[in-house]
Amino acid sequence: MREKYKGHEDAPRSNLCRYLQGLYIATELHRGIITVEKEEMEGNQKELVSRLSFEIVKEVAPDELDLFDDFKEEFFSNPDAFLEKDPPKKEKMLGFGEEVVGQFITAGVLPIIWGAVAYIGIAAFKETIGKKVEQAMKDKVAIEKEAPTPNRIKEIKEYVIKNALIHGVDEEVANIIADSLIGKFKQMEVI
Amino acid sequence: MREENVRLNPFMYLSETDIRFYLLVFLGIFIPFYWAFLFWVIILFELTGLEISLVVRFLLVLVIALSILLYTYRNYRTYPQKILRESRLREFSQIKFPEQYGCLEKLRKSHLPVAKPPILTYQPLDPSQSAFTFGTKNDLYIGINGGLIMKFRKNIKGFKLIILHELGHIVNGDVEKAYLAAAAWQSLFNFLLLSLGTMVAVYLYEMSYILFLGTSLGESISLFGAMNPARALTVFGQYTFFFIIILVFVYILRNQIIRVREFYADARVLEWEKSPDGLIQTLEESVGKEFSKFEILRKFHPTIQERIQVLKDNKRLFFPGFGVAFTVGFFLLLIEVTSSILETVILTFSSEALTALQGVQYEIPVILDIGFRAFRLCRNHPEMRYYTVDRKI
Repeated sequence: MREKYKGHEDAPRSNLCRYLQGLYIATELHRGIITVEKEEMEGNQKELVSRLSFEIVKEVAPDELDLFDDFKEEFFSNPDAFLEKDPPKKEKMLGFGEEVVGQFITAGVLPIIWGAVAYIGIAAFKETIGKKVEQAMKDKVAIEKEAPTPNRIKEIKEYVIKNALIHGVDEEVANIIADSLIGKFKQMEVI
Repeated sequence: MREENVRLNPFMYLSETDIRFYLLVFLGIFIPFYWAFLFWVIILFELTGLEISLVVRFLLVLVIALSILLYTYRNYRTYPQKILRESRLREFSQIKFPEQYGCLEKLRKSHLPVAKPPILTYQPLDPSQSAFTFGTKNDLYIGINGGLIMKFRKNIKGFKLIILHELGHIVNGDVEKAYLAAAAWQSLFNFLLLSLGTMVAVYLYEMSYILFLGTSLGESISLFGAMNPARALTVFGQYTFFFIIILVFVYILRNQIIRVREFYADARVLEWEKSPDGLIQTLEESVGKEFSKFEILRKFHPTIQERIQVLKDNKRLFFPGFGVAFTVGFFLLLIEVTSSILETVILTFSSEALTALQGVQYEIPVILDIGFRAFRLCRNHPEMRYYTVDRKI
């Protein structure tokens, strides 16, 4: 969107025309900024979620690391539909056998972290938005950083555990994931 | 070698599952052909009022037989793509999984030295520690579940045994058997449904003919129209019931063939490994589900306990059991029902030959089934008996 309006400022025009055109461009540019920011924010959120999830899976279920990229790819292709992406549980002909199976930790970790990051609302605050907006957001971050109360930590932990249980993760593992995630957030000085 | 280590060789001569497999393909192709032919002859004869010549009958036979065969073959050929798509399988690449790929290739080369190896695929989201084979005779695939890829790091021996089990299926020729059986079942299902649909459509057509043009004219050309609705309902009910029985039976038969082939795949692993211990341990670790005798009819796998028992003592694969007795009894009943329906309802131009033909279509495979088991037990071929490791199982 920004590209579209490059050079417009040098075009000769009357005051009224300039005013109207300026107003139009400002409106469109504003829309453009929002669009670009959303994409950038989402990109950064993905990166952050991916990094955090990898670290947590490394701690909680290192055996699953071989498959992490596949899970990540499936999840980010459509996070909302990820839970429905369970392969059909139909019994396969000529398989080794039907067994009672649990669930991959990674399958739970990705949506949990995704939800937690969105819940805290900090993912998009870094390196994403235009200078003016960025400054405003930095202030917001600063405000949030000033109050890392135990209640806030407890609240986040409860949110993560609740989310983990919804995703079919054991309570014990959910606790480990929550503690690990809070540790990572603290390291990143997010909370 | 100690005598207790002597085992019967299940790969000597045709097995009973081979016979049942041929029976199923036969049923899948012949039964719909028989009914489709019968209906079309009757319908053409009744609707046109013409005497159907031998040439026309021959052409009908050819057209119906060819379409059923082509349909079955098409189903068989398209199964791999359908499974790849439905299970969302991905290519199992050497770059992504170098260690697992190396291990798989080593196993494949030592146990399946073929020019065209099976294509390796995987489904990362499936947590079950299992794999499966599919495809056609010349187009083989192995699908590996995410849980099994994970098992590689935890328990490499278990990982290898599960892959060997899949290679066992390929070496035993189970892939083409299972998928041809599945294609035959599908063909049977669709063609019987088509036959029934045709019959109902003709009845409705004739009833509307009678309704609009009068009873006497309608009756004079009618095939089913002469029947009152209650009678028609009874007749169609009989047909539907009969078709359902056939379909259920063939469905159970298909599942049973596939289930029994699991014992043979295990037996192949045992032949390669010389000891059942590893496989028994892997089976026990897999914590398989337990099913009732009714539930198991719908399954493609025997229970873990059954598999362990057969691994310890494979005589069960040689003696006719309840299943065979049931099959024989069931077929005899089916012949009776078929004959009765044909005699009372349809066979205005039928002869005893048709009934005899029905007898042949059901009885021969059953006799072969029992005969081959007896033959395998009685035949004293040196290769019929082979030894496992020198320890009591």
